[in-house]
Amino acid sequence: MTPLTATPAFQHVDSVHAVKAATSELVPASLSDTAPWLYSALSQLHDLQDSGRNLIGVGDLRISERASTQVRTILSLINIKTLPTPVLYPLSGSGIGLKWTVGSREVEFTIFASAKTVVAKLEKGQLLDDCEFSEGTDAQSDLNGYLGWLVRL
Amino acid sequence: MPFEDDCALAGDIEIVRVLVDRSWCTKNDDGTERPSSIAFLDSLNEVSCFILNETNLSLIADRFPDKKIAIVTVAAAREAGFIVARDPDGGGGIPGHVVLVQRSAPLESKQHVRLTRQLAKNGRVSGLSQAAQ
Repeated sequence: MTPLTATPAFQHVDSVHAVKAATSELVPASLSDTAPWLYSALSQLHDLQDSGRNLIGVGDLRISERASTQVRTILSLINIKTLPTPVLYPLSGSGIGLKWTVGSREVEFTIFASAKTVVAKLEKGQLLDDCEFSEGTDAQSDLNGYLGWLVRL
Repeated sequence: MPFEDDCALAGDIEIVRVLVDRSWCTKNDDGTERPSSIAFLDSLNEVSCFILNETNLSLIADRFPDKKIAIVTVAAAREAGFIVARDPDGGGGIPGHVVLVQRSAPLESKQHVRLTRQLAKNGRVSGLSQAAQ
């Protein structure tokens, strides 16, 4: 299995720091210079894992290990170097959401507790395209296609 | 025991969902707020809500201070493929607790997320403290 740190998102990241970034530990501050969006995503993931609670009347906001691993897998497959900072948020039932916004364009990942993932591309709030994301040969190209569209002028 | 649709709940009866995360609501083009689709998703397929005219918003506001609520109708929920099932024990002492259960789309599929997006677009957002007064 290819180590997470050998994947495209980590190619420009110091390997010593990258190992720590791929765990639940606090993300090293140096990542904020080399890959600020990745630093932010990993930091937000850490915070959500830390703060998640089971809220009666709302749902379980504790992030499942499978969902957390899926977020890291998605981040590791990204080969677009310049991205805005994403927003991560809890999905009731131990899942997690991940969204990038550029102007009126959005790319939104809905990651369920089981790690099943739906990716959607929206413009001005209207759905343009969506797919069920699963690891495989097409996954990386689908993912980078969506994010490439997001940042394309 | 599986949840059963309560057919007595229908039409314009309103359902409240507490928006505990700021990403659970979004802005319309005109600047007004509406719930995000994520607010009506649940990995267990049990979206915890309250019937507006049966619950006590003050109790909800006490439990979730400074939070907003999404309000949708039972009709909109059913059009988006959800059943509305009573779950009196799930509210932790707050009356009017129900769960929305998706029955039309395969769970965790893109159709599931699309239907949730449809429901969210029909919703509105209100401040919980404001609504409780």
